[in-house]
Amino acid sequence: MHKQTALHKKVGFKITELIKDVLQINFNTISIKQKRCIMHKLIKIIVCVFFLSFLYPNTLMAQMFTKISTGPISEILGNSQGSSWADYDNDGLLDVLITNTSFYGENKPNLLYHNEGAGYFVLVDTGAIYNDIISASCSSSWGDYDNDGNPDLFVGVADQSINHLYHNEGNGNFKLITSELQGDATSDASWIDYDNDGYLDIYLTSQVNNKNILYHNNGLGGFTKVDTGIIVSDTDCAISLSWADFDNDGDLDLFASNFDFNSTSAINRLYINHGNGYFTSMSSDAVILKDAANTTGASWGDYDNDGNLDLYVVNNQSANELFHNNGDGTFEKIIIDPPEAAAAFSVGSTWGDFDNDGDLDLFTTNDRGFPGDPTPSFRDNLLFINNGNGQFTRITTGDIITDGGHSCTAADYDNDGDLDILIVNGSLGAPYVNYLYLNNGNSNNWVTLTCVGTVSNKSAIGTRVKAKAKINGKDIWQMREIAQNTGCHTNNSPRVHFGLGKASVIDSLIVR
Amino acid sequence: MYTNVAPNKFYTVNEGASNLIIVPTNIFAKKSTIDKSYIRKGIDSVLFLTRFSNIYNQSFSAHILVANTDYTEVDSLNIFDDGFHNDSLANDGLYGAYITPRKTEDFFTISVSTITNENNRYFNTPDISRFTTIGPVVLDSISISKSIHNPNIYIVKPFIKNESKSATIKNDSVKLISSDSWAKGISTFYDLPDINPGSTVEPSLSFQIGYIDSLFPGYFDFKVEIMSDGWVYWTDSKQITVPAVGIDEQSNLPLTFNLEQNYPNPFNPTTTIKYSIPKQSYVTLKVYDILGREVATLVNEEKQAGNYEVEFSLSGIRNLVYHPTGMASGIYFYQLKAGDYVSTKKMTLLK
Repeated sequence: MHKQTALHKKVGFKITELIKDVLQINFNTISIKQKRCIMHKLIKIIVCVFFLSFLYPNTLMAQMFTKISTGPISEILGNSQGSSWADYDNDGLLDVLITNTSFYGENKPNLLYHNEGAGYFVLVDTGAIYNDIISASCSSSWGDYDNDGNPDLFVGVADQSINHLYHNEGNGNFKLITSELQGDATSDASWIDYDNDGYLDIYLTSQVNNKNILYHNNGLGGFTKVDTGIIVSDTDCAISLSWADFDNDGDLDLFASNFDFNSTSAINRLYINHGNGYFTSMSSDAVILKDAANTTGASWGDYDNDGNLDLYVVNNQSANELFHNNGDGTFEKIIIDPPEAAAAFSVGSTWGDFDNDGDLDLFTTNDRGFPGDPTPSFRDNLLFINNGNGQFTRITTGDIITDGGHSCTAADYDNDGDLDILIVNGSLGAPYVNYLYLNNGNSNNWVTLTCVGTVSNKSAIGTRVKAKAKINGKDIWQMREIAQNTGCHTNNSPRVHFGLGKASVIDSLIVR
Repeated sequence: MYTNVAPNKFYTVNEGASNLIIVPTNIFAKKSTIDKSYIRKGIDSVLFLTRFSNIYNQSFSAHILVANTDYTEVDSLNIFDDGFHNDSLANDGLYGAYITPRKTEDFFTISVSTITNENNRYFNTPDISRFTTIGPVVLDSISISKSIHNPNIYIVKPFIKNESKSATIKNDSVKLISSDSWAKGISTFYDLPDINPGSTVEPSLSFQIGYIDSLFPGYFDFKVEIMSDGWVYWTDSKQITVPAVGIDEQSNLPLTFNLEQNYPNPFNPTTTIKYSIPKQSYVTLKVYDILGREVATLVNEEKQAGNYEVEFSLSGIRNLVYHPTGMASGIYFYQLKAGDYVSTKKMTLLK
């Protein structure tokens, strides 16, 4: 028997049926005692691994992610462009929306997967989201625009002026709002409270007249289009948006990734928020802006735990760039990608402390290119494990590397304290399979926080969290900021996740 | 500032609050199902299956309570994830139990409770599912007639019979469903009057159903869902034959649908595509790349019967999602859809 309003179609998978990955980690990152212990066990268990360890003493093989090949997320095909995470029914489990464009000539619905717990998802195949067939959805963004405690969903439409706003009615139901939030081919959208008035505003890219669009939330359930200011008058062709308070002054600044379809010399923009809705643009001579070529996305994260948000910029068939934030408004360019990766068509990126050791690691997806175009000579994804000393160790093996991918997000979907990864593969070509990659975890400690605004917007977008813990004998302050945009067309989990290494307590936790 | 925060937990941080809140660890039933919503009194069993939300993966025991409306027939059952209660595999998260035949003719509710082994934390999910021994309530017959206002619509009314000998069905409604590929536009559910034992009722309003004439074989397969208090307890189905509908010929127009090969081919930068439609149709003509992804829409509107041609030009084509640098040399497809007619042909772009 089922209730008239039954929501979900059940399709499950078993974690026990998973395929195992093997990834490399840097042997220099662990202590001599640990090395001896691990080597001793390896010698006893697997002779061939001993041989590898003997030949390459700086590496050993370890499992880090497991590719999930069953379940609805990988079994339901689409032409998926982006993904965004939120606990839309407030049941303590992160749900995910995957956006789709047309698939072999048929428009496909965007796919909302409800998290059932224990690694099970079901497709929500009824209701406003599933029944609303949109021709070309790229980006989606969750945000509680009316502060009622239920995250609402905005879906940008890439080939029309109409965008789709779904109000979360509670109890798992959504209502399509015929809203005034029109765009001009929206490839990316961000819920942000740019003026800190406690209500989420929305900012859209535009790929028709190339002027981005800002709607101010009037706090009464309506929006007013903002028609003055540099962030709505510049005529760049932004493809994705990355908001963060990079200058630590309490308001969200904006890095706009601009993708010029007619040249390879598009200039990105870094807009500095001065409060009260007033923005200025950083000089295009700045290091963080001057070398980028056809940027598809960018991700902010304080990878060196110095209290300043750094930026990883992802470029199409040009070297990706890491910009270290010097804390004085300037940046230093650092190249961590291997030279051969400059040929890659990089699209997605996300920071996350995937090994829970107290510093942010970095993951980037590389597309196989558009049909008809030459296949890029470098197609592996890039996973960089942070060594904790400003250096990264690149992981080179495993499905999560060799599968490639279009865009990616990080979220602890199984509530086990480590960050998992979702890759969607819309532009890769057949068979268009999306995959979850389950973090196999380790014995490190962690903490996960869900922030709820009371004076600020309820989704707590813009909130900054700092945590101090003694990791490897040092007092480390880590910092996260809730601004979910990452990479291209994607929103990470709104939750704050810290890896803590072996720390048994967080000495201090500051929420701003 | 919060100090001495314990790791390996999920917290909620309310702005301005002095304490962190550990996310509640209630273990609660989710995705509960039963294999039958109507069972014969004293004869049939019900298989109950459920999963649980258990975010800290605590060990726990689970129970269900099955009760009729006045709690005169109540059973408490343990449910297991042991693979022996038709619950799939052991330890796969799917719990199950058989509910034995009921003694009374009534409606029954199922609630699920959990108790954690570590700290005896109790949580109950009431009224998670329902079934009944009343009835059955069946689809007695269906009347169907063509709309006098719209020849492409049939007016349908189901007649619902309560075969119970003693119970009256109240607060009830009926939903009509057809999954036939030619059926379209069926309505939602309508209220029914109370149904006394042995009597037949009909909704005050009629359902309307359209059809795709080129596919229509002259019948519909209907299914009804009959609800009481918003819960579906009874389902039934029937196939109903109706007169077929003819299609007028229009001899002065194209006799068939046709999509011609583009000319020139290969092409750069423009080519012409001709097509014919023998009757008024909604026409789409779209261009796809070799992966089937749309790169251009050339026609997307209602067209009168006739012969048409349309020019496809590279200028103005800038599909930002798939071809940001413009269309590359290679094979593309163009597809005509007119009503139910679909034809696809290949063309080559040579740059």
